[in-house]
Amino acid sequence: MNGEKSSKNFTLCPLFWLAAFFALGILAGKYFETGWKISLVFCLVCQLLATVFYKQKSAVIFISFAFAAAGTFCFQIKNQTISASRIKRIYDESRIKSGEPVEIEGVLRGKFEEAVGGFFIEIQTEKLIYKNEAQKVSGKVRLFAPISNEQIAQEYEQLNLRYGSNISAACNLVREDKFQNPGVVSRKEILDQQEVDAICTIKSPLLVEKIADEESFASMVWLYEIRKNLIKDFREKFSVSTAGIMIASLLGNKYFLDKPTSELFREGGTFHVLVISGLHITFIGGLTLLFLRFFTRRRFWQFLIAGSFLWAYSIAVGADVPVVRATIMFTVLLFSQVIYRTGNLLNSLGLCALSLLVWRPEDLFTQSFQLTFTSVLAIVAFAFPLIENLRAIGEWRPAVETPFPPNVSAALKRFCETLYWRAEAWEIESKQQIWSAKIFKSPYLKIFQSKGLQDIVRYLFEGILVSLIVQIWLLPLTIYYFHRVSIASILLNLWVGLFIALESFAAIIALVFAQFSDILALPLVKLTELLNWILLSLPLLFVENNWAGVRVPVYSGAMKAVYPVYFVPILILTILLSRWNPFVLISNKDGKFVSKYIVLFSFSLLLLFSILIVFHLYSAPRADGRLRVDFLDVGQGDSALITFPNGETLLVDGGGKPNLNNFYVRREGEEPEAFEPDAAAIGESVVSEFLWERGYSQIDYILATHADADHLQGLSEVAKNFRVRAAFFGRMPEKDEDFAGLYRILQKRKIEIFKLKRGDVLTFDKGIVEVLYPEADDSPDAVSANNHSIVLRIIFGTKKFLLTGDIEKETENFLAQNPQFLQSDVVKVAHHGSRTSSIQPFIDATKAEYAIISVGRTSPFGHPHKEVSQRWQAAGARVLTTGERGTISVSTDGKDLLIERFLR
Amino acid sequence: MASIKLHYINNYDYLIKLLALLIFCFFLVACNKKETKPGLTLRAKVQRAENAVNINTAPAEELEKLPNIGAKMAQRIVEHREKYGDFRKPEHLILVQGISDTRFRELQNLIKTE
Repeated sequence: MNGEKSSKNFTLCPLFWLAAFFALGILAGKYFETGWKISLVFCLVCQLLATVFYKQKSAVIFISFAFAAAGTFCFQIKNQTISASRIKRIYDESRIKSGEPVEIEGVLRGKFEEAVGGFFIEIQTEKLIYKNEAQKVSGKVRLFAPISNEQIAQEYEQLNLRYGSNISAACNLVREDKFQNPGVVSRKEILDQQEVDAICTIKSPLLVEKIADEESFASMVWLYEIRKNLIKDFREKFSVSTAGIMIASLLGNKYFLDKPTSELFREGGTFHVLVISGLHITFIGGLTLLFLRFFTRRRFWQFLIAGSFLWAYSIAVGADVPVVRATIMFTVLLFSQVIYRTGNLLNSLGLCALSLLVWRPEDLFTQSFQLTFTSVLAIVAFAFPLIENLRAIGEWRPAVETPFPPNVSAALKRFCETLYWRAEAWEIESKQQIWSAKIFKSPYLKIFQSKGLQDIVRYLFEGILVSLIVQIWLLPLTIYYFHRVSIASILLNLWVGLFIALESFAAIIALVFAQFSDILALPLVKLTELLNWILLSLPLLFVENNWAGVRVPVYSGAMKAVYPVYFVPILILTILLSRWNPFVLISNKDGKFVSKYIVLFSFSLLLLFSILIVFHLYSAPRADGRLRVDFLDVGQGDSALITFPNGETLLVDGGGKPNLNNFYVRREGEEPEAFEPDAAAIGESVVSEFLWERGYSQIDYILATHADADHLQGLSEVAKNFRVRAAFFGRMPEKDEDFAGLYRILQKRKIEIFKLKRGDVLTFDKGIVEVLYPEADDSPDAVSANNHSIVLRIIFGTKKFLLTGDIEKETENFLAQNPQFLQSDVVKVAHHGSRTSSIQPFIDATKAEYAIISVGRTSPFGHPHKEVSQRWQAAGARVLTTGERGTISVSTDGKDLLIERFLR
Repeated sequence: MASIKLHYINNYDYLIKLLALLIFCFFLVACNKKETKPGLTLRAKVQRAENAVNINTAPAEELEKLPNIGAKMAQRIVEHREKYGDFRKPEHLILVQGISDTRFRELQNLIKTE
């Protein structure tokens, strides 16, 4: 009783609050760019004041401020004191340009990551030779070595690169942003989060030399060897999908996951089980503990063995930040057990957060940190206390501490009793007492208990409850980062979690057996494949029927505040929950009324916010009477979004990757299997992201100029992710693989298809779209090549835009015969500025003010060709390329012409 | 009261054990080293022709005589070495845009850098 009283003045989780203040400090450091010295001084002053006034209440405030300032300091000192020789700075300051040939020397540290078709290595650099001049450098770079044939594989084998090898490699180091559009995550930022300064592809093993094998821990080398062999075993024994899932979820290498499988996990909102993180560490750690309990009951040894096993595991799987984070968390929780401080999980969580943020303050802004901590917080601060209370209500029997029945509604009481009441325990207990009592419990109990249903239902209920609470807490994060809402994920998470655990067991035992005999292992291999099939079947069922979830856009501008504000009602509910004691009799009627009122209010607020962010009522830009054309930076490719004065949207082309490499994976005695790597498609990671950032969930019309992958492929993802009313094509070459893919999706989603031909005119409000090309050709064998591109002229008021697709000389020549139809203010230059297009008569006929070239910063074909840009400039047009400027937006009210660029 | 005291003793006991373990770990780390092995290159086995072309000094016309090198590629090689300095190793020719691993292997014994 005394303890409870004192808890009013002392929080039970001081470390949690300190961590929270530390995080706030980091946040402040991001937005206020003061020098780190100021923060340090402020921190020390606050600390001093706290020491001086240590007996007064104000000390708490000073301590909080000291921690916040410490957070700011930690963040700033890391950002403001990057050594001048860091590769990151050398490239950011353009001392060496991205993509120029250099030779680097350094030690292979961190991961040696195999992949299908090559491998990745990370090198801690020491020396860099540029233009035959050597300089000392620091920083990590990631190299990819493609293996295209047997000879190259053998040569790398000979080199025997391993952890601790000191190597030199000549390559074109790259550190640059690609696809610069609003809403698209910067590549540099991703690299910075991974602490990689630059990346490159090694063109040939001949460019790599091993200087020496440095001294390194034998045990590290040994751990990496084991992992490598296990990956090999998994790949030899199991099918592509099974091996990919097992290698990702047990060994932490995601490069063997094929695209269809990973998409299935993503769409069901369960991809996180494929990334080693809290879930796995808890599972493996818990299993180890359970196993150890058979041998020793001494907590110290349990802690020691389980801890070292976990750390060995996390190092072996590559010591990625999320893994290390989870392992630290588990170690802290375990350690608090050792010193018998089991009291408060929240406090241990605070200690983890604090130590992690001191180690890597910038992690606060990463997806994975936010997701991990929010979900663990949801479980520790909300789900566990809630379940604890429900259990207490259900298990109630008269005792000294709780003489009266729980003070809750009858329905809740019955529900909890059904789940938690143990009749046998009560029988035994009542026999031992000198008094007797008859307790009335839920009438459904008998049916439940007699068939052993109670346990199953209870587990299921608790699982779904935890899953649901985590999903509610994570809602703004999943929407903001993944643009996904998935109600099915509450159920799918349980399903996938259970079966992936079973599958892992089967796979590991199969591998152990296979060491002795393949025949012995065969049934287990088959069992693993069966479990994998079961694992995937439910998500597949959901995805096939479009139950898995919906994609939602995000708010921009001031409305963005809705995402953090969402947590306010959650916080209020959490605090109320922590104070809820179902056994307290009504002592203060008003107080109870107020808290009930607050609960109701918070719930409705939470509901309101979730409706706001899920149904994104005000996210799409309102029609402002202007015609707007956004030319996206999709690298080598085309994509332009046209917004008509009434707000209707037309997406012309969707970019795409010109040549996605597919591989074939061969196993002994099996048919080769196709393997599509899980690479982000342009249509998803660039075009869709841009549209979501704009706030759209519906794109009214899509149009493909012709059937080349860099124009058409991205439209498939757009058609999948957005509601589309109709699609326009010039020709429909059903034999073309890319077109057929898009066509299937359009048919599945029942999107109407219209064919356009020369002479057609479409009107969208006051915007008129003229189709200048191509001639009709209805045969299914019609090819849709560059010279069959749809050419559009969009007219609004006096302003005209010409979109040319990839037309070449011949078509330009044909069109230039009627120059009056070509006159335009803004022209998208044909075929990415290739010299096969943009002939002089065509340029002259357009009389363009702006010539926009849609092309990557570096093009494999050397686009845009210099003479083309010069030709346009000579004709008086301003030439802008998306590669240099990012998204180029042109808008008009019919008279003026405003041009905006994403990059200045 | 007695039981509480016992717990405190236990705590220190564990801490001392942990410390001992840490020292043991450091000891382990100190002993656990792998000896340095000599390095490896794949270059050694190439046998250069006697009349090998020096890619650092040869003019574009001479580079064109190499198998699969056209006028454009020869020009590119010359530009590359003007911009980034001499090729220090014949293999660095691969860094020139357009020269792949396979293409290089066809001519690697016909070129030299010094």
